[in-house]
Order: sequence, then structure tokens, then C-alpha cells
Amino acid sequence: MAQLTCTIDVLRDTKRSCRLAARPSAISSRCYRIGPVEVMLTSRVPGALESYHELYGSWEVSRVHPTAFHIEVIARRSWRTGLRHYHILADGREEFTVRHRQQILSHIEAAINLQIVRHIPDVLSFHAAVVSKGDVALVMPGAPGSGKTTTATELLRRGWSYFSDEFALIDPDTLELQPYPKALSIKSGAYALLRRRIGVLQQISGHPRGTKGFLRCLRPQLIREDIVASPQRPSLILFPTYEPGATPAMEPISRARAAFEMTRFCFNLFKFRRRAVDILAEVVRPARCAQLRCGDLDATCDLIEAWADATGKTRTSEHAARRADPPQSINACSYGHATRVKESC
Amino acid sequence: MQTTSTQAETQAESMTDTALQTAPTRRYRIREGLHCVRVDDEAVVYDLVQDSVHYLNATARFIWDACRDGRCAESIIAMMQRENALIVDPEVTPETILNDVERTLATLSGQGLIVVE
Repeated sequence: MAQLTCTIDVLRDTKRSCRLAARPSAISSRCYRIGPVEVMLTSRVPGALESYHELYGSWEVSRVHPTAFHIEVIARRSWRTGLRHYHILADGREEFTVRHRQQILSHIEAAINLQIVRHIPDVLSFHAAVVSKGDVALVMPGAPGSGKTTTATELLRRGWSYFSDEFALIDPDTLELQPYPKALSIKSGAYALLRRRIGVLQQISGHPRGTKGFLRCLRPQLIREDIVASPQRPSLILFPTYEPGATPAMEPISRARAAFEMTRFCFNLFKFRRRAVDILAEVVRPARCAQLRCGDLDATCDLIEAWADATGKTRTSEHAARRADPPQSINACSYGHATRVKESC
Repeated sequence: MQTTSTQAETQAESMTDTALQTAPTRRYRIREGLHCVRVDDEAVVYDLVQDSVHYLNATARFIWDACRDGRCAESIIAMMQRENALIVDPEVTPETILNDVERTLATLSGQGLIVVE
């Protein structure tokens, strides 16, 4: 009996050894805190997390809160084709499947973005680029292709400080913008404009990402080491639209209109509901607001800087702020606009 | 500033015609379930029932406020005329005010922001 038991134990050990031999590399796990966004990355795929760590290594922490976003990269071989694919999961839910290793980084970023849109707690989040210069924090809510990232990147090159090129995150208690200094996502068109202005861009390889084409992820500290901004309240809200060849122009809009337009770009309006409107009303009260038609990049940024300089000098003057508002005529009568929260989200 | 959709404009026209034809005693009142925040002279309204957001310019906000106590169009117009005395604008005539008020009431009603009693 003792010999039989010993044999069984040997068999068990052998099986265990075989399983260990067949198991891929040990799991790699890293935690990051980037502004209010906490992420835990895990993968058994050797080197899968290295490119992300190159961008965000300075934000690494030893542990994160249990509610942090968990992004996992796993590799599977298709039983049908035999080809290897990489699957990017966010909190256990499969978000993307890519064929090539060089696509992993941009899709990790996309998975984190999705989690921010869906789940980030305790902040009101908007699709916007945010930069600042001194006391002036500029928020540019806009649809994809409106020129947010290109304009923000050029302003950073001119000495502005960085919050984010994708998200405006507003603390509902302090009404301050919180920096989320993710890597700037430079699309092909923007790359053509920016590569001579920001030389380091030419050393960064592009990665394909779906409908966005080739993206280059630019670590903002490569522009300037101390580029990340500190929390502050918005003071300039511009809604950009890009028209190739157009003369850049600024059309002032009322603060109520700006608050309304911001709801169109709010990711979690349905969570905050009436409180979101209360928050936005307070956010816009001290701010100057306008529609921005973007054209030539230099002229657009010159115009923004002129407005920022004027805003910085007069932002505490309510009288001066009213002077910038469009005139109200009692016969300009129409009720305004509406949007459905669930459609806009 | 423009109304939101062709459907709202069509509704506005038909309701304006209706308003002219029916007895002048219809009262307009703000619907329940609306959260209004004022910003300067304008307002942003969150509809808690439909989960939609509306923007009211200064004139629409004035008319909206007038509906708070349940007023008829003529009463609102009288308030507008008193307010008009404070605004120096030679182009504003009583007929303009009447058209503006009736069109705005129709639009607000079409969007479900006010109800007709």
C-alpha cells in the first residue's frame, strides 16, 4: 500500500511538472496611478506590457485601489486558423482582438479610455482636450477630427501645460479640472503638421488602430519634463471645428449655451443627471466661452493665445466678461436647443 | 438661435393657428419633473422624465418663468410689454412680441417643457 501511495504521488508530481512546463511565462502585473485614473495591467505574454510601461513608467505605483481598472492582455491561438491573436480585456470583458504585437499598446489605451467613459467614479468626464497657461485653463470639447489634439499639442509646444488630449475630468466638489496626462494620440494628419515642430515625434513609430488609422503615442514629458498641469478651474471654454483652409475665428457664445453644449460631450451625464447641470452652471460662470473655427494651425493658436491673454487679465471682472457676451434682443426669440442624454452618451 | 427640428416648427405653426382661433383663456404651466438652472439671463433645463437637456435663451427663459404660476398668453405678453419698456430697441413692436411669445409657447409645449391647462 505504501508503495502504491508513493507511485501515485510520483505520478501527481510528474503531472504537475508537465503542467508547469506547458504554462507560458509567469504573469506580469503592474499598477499605475495617472491623475484620478488607476490601472492594473496584467499579462502572461512576454513583453506585452513593456511599451505601455515606456510611456507611463513614471506613474507606476506599488498597489492600486480594488476599484482600479484591470486591463489584461492574453494570447490565444485560433483553433481554426492556427494564427495567434492578442485579446485585450477590460475588467474581465473582452474589448479588442488584434493580430500583431505592435497593436497591443494602442488598444490597451483604447480599453482604458472605454473604462473611463463607462466607469470612472467621482468626476464628471467630457470628451475634450485640456491645456493651461498660468491662471487660464482652456477646455476644448469636440468630436473626433475637430482639431483638439493637434491644437493642444501645438499649444504645449508653445509652453502651455498639459491636462489631457482626450478627457476633461471635473471634480464635482471643487469644480477643478483634474489632470489625466495620458500620452497624446497623434493621428496621421496631425503627424504631418507636427513632426517638424516636435522633432521627437519622428522617432516614434506609428501603430494601426482601427478607423483612426496610424497613431503615434507621444509621452508629453518628451515635449517638456514639467509639462503636467496642476488642478484648476476652467476659465476658457472653446468648441473647435476644423475647416481646412479656413481663417480661424472666434464666435462668442453665452455661458448657458456653453453649459448646454458641454452636455453633448459629457460621458457620464446620465449618472449625475440634474447635478451635472448644476455643476456645469457653476463651471461656466467665471469662464469665457466661444465657438472656435480652426484653420491654419499657427493662426489658430495665435488667436487662442490672444484670447487667453485677455481672459487672464479680465477674468475676475464680471463687467468685462459681460462685454464679451453677444447682445440679447427681445425679438431674437427662439427657445434654444435640446439634446437627449442617452443619445448623446 | 433656431428651434431644434422641423417637427417642432410644424407643431409651432399649428399651435399658433390654434391659439388664435380658440378662446384666450388657455393657461400654460411648467411641467413637473424639470430642473432649471439659470446662467446669467438664460437657462439650462434638465428633464428628469425624458433625460434630455434644453437650452433657453433670455427671451425663452423669461416666458418660461412667466409660466411658473400658470399664465395665459395675453398675461405673458403684458409682462413682456412691461419688460420691453426697460429694453431700448426701436425694432420691437407689439406685433413682434405677440408672434415671438406664441411661437415660443408652441415650441416649449412641443418639447414637453410646458403643459396647456
